[in-house]
Amino acid sequence: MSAPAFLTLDQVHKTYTLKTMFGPTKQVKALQDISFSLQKGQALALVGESGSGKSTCGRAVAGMFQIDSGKICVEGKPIATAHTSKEKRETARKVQMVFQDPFASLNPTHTVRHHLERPLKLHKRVPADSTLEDELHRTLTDVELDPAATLEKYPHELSGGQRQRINLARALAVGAELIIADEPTSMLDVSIRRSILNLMKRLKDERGITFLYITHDLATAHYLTENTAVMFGGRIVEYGPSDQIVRDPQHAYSKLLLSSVPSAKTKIDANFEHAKDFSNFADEVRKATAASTAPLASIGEGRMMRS
Amino acid sequence: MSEDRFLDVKGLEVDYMTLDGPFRAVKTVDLHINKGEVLGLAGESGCGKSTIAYALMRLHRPPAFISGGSITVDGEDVLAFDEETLNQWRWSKVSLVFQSAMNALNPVLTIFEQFRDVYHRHTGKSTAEARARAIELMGLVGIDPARLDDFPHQLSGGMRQRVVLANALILEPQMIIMDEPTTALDVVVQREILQEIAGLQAKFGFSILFITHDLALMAQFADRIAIMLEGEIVEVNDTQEIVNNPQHDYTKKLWEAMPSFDDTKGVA
Ligand SMILES: Nc1ncnc2c1ncn2[C@@H]1O[C@H](COP(=O)(O)OP(=O)(O)O)[C@@H](O)[C@H]1O
Ligand SMILES: Nc1ncnc2c1ncn2[C@@H]1O[C@H](COP(=O)(O)OP(=O)(O)O)[C@@H](O)[C@H]1O
Ligand SMILES: [Mg+2]
Ligand SMILES: [Mg+2]
Repeated sequence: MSAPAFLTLDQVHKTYTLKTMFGPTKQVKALQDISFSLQKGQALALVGESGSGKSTCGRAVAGMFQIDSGKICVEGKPIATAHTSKEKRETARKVQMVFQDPFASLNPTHTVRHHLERPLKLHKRVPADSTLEDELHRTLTDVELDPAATLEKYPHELSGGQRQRINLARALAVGAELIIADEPTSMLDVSIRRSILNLMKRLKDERGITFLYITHDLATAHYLTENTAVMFGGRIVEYGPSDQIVRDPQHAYSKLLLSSVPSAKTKIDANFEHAKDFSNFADEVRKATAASTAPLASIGEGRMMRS
Repeated sequence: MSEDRFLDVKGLEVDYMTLDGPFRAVKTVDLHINKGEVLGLAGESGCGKSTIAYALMRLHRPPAFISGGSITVDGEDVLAFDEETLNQWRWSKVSLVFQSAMNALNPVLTIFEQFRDVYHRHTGKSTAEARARAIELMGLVGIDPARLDDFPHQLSGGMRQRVVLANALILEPQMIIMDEPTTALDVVVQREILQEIAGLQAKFGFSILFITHDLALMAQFADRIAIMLEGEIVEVNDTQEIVNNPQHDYTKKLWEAMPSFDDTKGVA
């Protein structure tokens, strides 16, 4: 048995009921039977197409809504049963989210200083032998920004990459131990995405920050994380060490996903009939994957799959 | 060699008139595409790719102005066309697949009504003939013809992009400009559409200007690749050379920008 996990999800379910203007209400099973655990200082990637439930899972862990059933525990304590406001604040502090849109969570009328000072003060993150100014500098240095050049700037004066660094800095200022990063690079210019990934990797390796990394990009998942969960239709269809998922996927949908990742080394098959065959095949895999209600079962050391 | 040239662009300059004065978004760009060739145009967002796409079809609108250069398509001077010639020429000789399928489709018209409008305007043929052509095209891009009477919002993102592709094929153009045709799609759907485009290109032999910020995707499909940075083309070469032997620092930087499966993880 391994060390107790920092984060565990046990059979988490969430269904949204949509009331359409005409016709009957519609049920969207956003999360179905989601179970996994994540060790402190490690990273888990949630990978899958849009609508597969990745963000819902991230927001559930951040406690942003009530799940229908199942259990989410941070350091062994269920987040839903935090009774006192002190307990709630503790979990809220430890678990922070960074979103796709680097603007979304920054206030345009406030400077970087303001964004970082508040959490440092609020959560009493300034040790007795330090000063607020020192902590501000340290936090910005942690995310590889020049404090002198950044502290008095407003969000619009920063590049997208710098804004995403500020979002990470703010999570650190609060004292985050688990950062849920929801497609943090997908709105950034291609050439700076890697530097943000590298930063997250350094925060993980050197600062012991735990990451739940949400992405549709298997290559970056492989780069940053120890383990990957492939999601489809609200379910985890395959789980395992990221390099094994990438090298040797087992589930039909994981295989399809992986084979679709563009590779500069292989030319696309330019046969008109083959294109139809590929589309039909993709449809079959999607249908079969959606239809299966089989449980996640072990398929070897650290690996699981739904058949 | 040069008689094979379908598109020949020389010294193209496009400016946006802004409150701070003109902003040159495209700076003295030369490029050509041969008959039946796929040219990739790659660069980061904001470098001027869409501006080129619109200018080539003279679909650019103020505040954009073409302030220099020449555009020759199949031996004709596109910048010299009058409005009427242009309207006939667009879609029949060269068509455009827009970056966002939703923007390219009219939300209040059914899929068939959008087909019929373009088809009727250019050919004057009847609704029954338009229907026959529409059914044929839906088959080509792999959509059940029964969906012709649906509205755009009733289709998935991948289906909408297929409809836009079918629209671009209506008049059998000799060149299609595709501006990030798969960018908003999931990776599997992206692969489906890309194979579809490659298959159609092999079948009909039209030329393609394929625009994307994803170099790996482009390398799978293009014959040659042009790399664009801040309004200029900084390197253009055969795909194999761009992949295996990139010359410009910026091309190298683009390749290094994203991890691939070959990257060593370095995780302890
Ligand atoms: N607040 C909500 N109300 C209704 N449906 C929702 C809500 N949030 C998500 N969904 C639905 O749940 C499913 C999963 O969504 P999401 O978690 O955002 O997927 P992903 O992040 O993988 O793209 C989708 O079908 C989505 O439309
Ligand atoms: N209507 C406009 N007015 C002023 N500048 C514009 C306008 N449209 C685009 N630009 C500018 O022109 C440059 C090129 O834009 P665009 O061709 O859309 O780039 P890409 O397609 O490569 O992302 C960018 O710097 C953009 O800000
Ligand atoms: Mg999401
Ligand atoms: Mg563009």
